Amino acid sequence: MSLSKPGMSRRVASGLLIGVPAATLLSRRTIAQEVIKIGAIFPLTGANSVFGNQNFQGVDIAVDLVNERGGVKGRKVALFKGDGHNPQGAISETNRLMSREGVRIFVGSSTSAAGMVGSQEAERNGAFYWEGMAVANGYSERGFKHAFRVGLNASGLGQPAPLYAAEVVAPLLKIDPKNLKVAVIAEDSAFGTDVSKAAIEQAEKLGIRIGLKELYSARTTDLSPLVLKLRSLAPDVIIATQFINDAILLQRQMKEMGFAPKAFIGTSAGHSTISFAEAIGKDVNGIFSSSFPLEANPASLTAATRADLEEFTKRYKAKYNVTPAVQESLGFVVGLSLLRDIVANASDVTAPALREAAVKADVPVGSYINGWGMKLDEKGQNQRAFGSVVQWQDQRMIPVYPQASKLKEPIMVPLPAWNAR
Amino acid sequence: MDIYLQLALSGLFIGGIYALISVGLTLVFGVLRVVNFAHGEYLTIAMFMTYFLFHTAGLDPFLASVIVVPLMFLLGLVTERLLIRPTLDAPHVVQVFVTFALSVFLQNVLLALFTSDFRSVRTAYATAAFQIGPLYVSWLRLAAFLAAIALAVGIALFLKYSYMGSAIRATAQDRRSARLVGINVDRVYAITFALGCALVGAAGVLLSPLFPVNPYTGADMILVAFVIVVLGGMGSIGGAVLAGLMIGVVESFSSYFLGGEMKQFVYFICFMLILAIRPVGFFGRKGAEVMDVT
Amino acid sequence: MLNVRDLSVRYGDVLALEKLSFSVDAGQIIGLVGSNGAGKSTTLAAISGLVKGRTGHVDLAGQDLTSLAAHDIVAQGIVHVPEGRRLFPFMTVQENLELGAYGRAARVRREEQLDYVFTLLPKLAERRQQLAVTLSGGEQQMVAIGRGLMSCPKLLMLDEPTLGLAPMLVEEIFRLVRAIRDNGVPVLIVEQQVVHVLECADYAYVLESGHCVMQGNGRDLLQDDGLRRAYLGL
Ligand SMILES: Nc1ncnc2c1ncn2[C@@H]1O[C@H](COP(=O)(O)OP(=O)(O)OP(=O)(O)O)[C@@H](O)[C@H]1O
Ligand SMILES: [Mg+2]
Repeated sequence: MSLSKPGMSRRVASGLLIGVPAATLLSRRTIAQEVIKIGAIFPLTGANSVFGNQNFQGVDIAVDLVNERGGVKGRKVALFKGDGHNPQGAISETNRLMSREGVRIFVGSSTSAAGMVGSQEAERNGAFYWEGMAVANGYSERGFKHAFRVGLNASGLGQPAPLYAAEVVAPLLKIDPKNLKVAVIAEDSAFGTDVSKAAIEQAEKLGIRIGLKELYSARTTDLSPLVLKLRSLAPDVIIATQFINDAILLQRQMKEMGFAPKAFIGTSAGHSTISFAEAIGKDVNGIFSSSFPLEANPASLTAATRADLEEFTKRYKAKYNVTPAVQESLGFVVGLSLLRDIVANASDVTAPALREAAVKADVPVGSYINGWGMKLDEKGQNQRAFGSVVQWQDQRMIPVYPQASKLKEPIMVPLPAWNAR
Repeated sequence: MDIYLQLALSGLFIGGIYALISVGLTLVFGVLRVVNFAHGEYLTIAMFMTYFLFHTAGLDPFLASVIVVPLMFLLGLVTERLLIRPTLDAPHVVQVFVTFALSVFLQNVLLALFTSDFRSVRTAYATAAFQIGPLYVSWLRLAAFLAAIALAVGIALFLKYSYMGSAIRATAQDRRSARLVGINVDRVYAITFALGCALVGAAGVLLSPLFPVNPYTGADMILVAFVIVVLGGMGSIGGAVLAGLMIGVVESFSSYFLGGEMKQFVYFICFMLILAIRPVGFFGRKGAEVMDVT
Repeated sequence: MLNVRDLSVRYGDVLALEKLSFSVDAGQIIGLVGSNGAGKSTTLAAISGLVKGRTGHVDLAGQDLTSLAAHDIVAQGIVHVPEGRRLFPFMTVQENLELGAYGRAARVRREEQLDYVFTLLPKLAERRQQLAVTLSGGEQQMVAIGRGLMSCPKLLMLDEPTLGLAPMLVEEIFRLVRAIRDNGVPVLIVEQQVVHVLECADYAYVLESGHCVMQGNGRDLLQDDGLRRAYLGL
């Protein structure tokens, strides 16, 4: 899907040709105006590198765009890659970027494993950490002064699924939410555990009973025992926190065993990826995925943001040859929020000045391409980030919740037979 | 009762594939005394080959095996010649470094070529299943299981009854004596290593329609293969098959009764228990000096 | 028929064999004796192509073997039965013997040769299906020699075939060696049993620290005072 490299290499080649004189010009000018260095800690290799690269590339486009619009207060921004494929990697890369490259501002991290330690290293050394993807609730519970999170925490990611089940799915199924039979399944890393816990807590608040709660390893090669368990419970709704390969495996094995719930709501990260849809084809239709918002309803965006969205999509396609999806646009939001709304408003680029700007920031909802705004609470957590629900319709992701980002009505509730999707 | 049968069946099916992956690994260890840490990457490579044959030439995975398995055999020959043979006389750590480095290298090459996206072979029959009484049987998993067992049995027969097979066994039992009866031991090494790759290649082909592949797929799956090889007795093909099936079934039952997050823990406990009772594994022999085909 | 000229072997810094020259003729038993570490096994291993750092010249009936690999040397007709038997432990007696005829040329005559070995060593016939590892030391040695004969060698090299065997079995082994020679296969034999080997050898060489220090007809050497003092403690 993202294999068509010829177009890209042509771009790279022409970029090199014009890049040479541009670089020399830049370097002469930077004697007066130093570049702003941003360290990017993402899992660029290893099991989580799909998300890592998508996030990073989103940030990269944001940096390109800001630079092209004249930089931040006239200063160019340079992005430095750090491979946080595991906690040790995140630690050493954060330190390397600080000591070797003189980076004092970081963005990250795709995984909580990397984000937790990367921010810790930064904090210890008085640097600034801008988290966008790692969802571990603990991130904002450590009393760090210079670690902020513009993205969702696990609660934010886990809550929309039960809300949606109660508000939308249950009425469509003509079942009182209190009588809804729900199974919660999740892969057993911190991601799956935290998000599914948030989903369960939210469900309990709504009076929904959880009939089955089950964890499994994402590396598993056989989920049929889980399918058997689900089948014997016969839940109305399954809420699942899964990565990509296990998400695919579960759908295939449910089909093999002729079992389906009345509704399936994934809570990321696998369910809103193109790979998921490619792997199971038409069987993807009808599946809901609650996640970071895919695309906002244009009506909910400001005019400037609509322009950003268009610009981002165009640039992303040109540079990386694929249409950006959830993770890519999230990267863009993280990069843009940091540069446009924090760094540009800070008196200088030291961590205390950035903190001051962050605490003051008051960006209305609809200012970022995914519909978010920004208001950071005293713990550093963005209060204007929200999750959304999409549904696969005709093998495309269509936003259906919340109202602000809804594009179409949900379909296929209850889920039709496997061969009728 | 139905549940037990269904669990046993699922466990056996996946266990058959574990067995096939492990047979190649144990064969190479038994004969060359080299633990091939890059075995998982060969699985990945075979899955990628199958994927591309499917997507570019529209070749069904089972048909693709006719191309993929020989290519994997060739790849094995080349690897043996360039990387393994020069280190055969070196201390074990050197071989460990070489195959480990190869594993990391291949992962990164695959990453550079194909990114870490998951790619799936989606066949029309991917999720086709039939029912016998209360049991659901996936055609694909059944076929993969049968093919895996047939290949394991085939390789055992080959070792037992062919000239090359007896040369391979002889080399495993005593390399020096093998030279003295006129066996070209270097050739045996090359062919054995290539066979190991071809076997894991076959496993890759069989897995393709079941699992998506990315550059780390093999690395994720190979862990269980190492457990199986040790459990079955290093170098024992029969042991690998038995241990593979056993681990499959244990995983299946433990994820149902104890929960999916417990299954690795459970088979690890089994592993420790069995090794405590029988340190050389099911069919292993002291010092792991031999390869046996029983 | 076997000609060895200036054969030297070096293991790292140790010169195990220095410019050794000797020959074996058709119909002969040639003895190679010497104290521990004298280089006897090294000599056989150098001829059979097992050691890497060898220099000098080896030819069999005019055929140069110096640069051949071990398996090619077997194909040329020299078989080395190593010290300590080294059977394939988890194969049966029959499988061990059959592997002795692994080479392409030998394969054709395998059944014939198997019959020959079983008539020469009738005790093995009863134990065909027994795993080699379960055999007694004497039986193992018989299988080792039998395995060597399976490829119809032009020259058989035995390294300490009587090591650890009871006196009666030692006699039996030497009878076997003579029978092999009488059936037309010359034997180069390395032995600690100096008296036995010198009595039966047509010609013998005495090695010391990688050099040949004495040579001659077996019985003549047995009369030599120096040798008697050094090896027989007389
Ligand atoms: N693989 C080796 N590496 C290093 N040195 C070796 C090796 N094999 C033999 N040697 C050395 O070479 C010398 C000759 O050894 P060799 O085994 O030929 O003696 P030998 O006459 O057969 O002795 P024995 O009667 O004890 O069998 C010895 O000093 C031995 O230590
Ligand atoms: Mg010796």
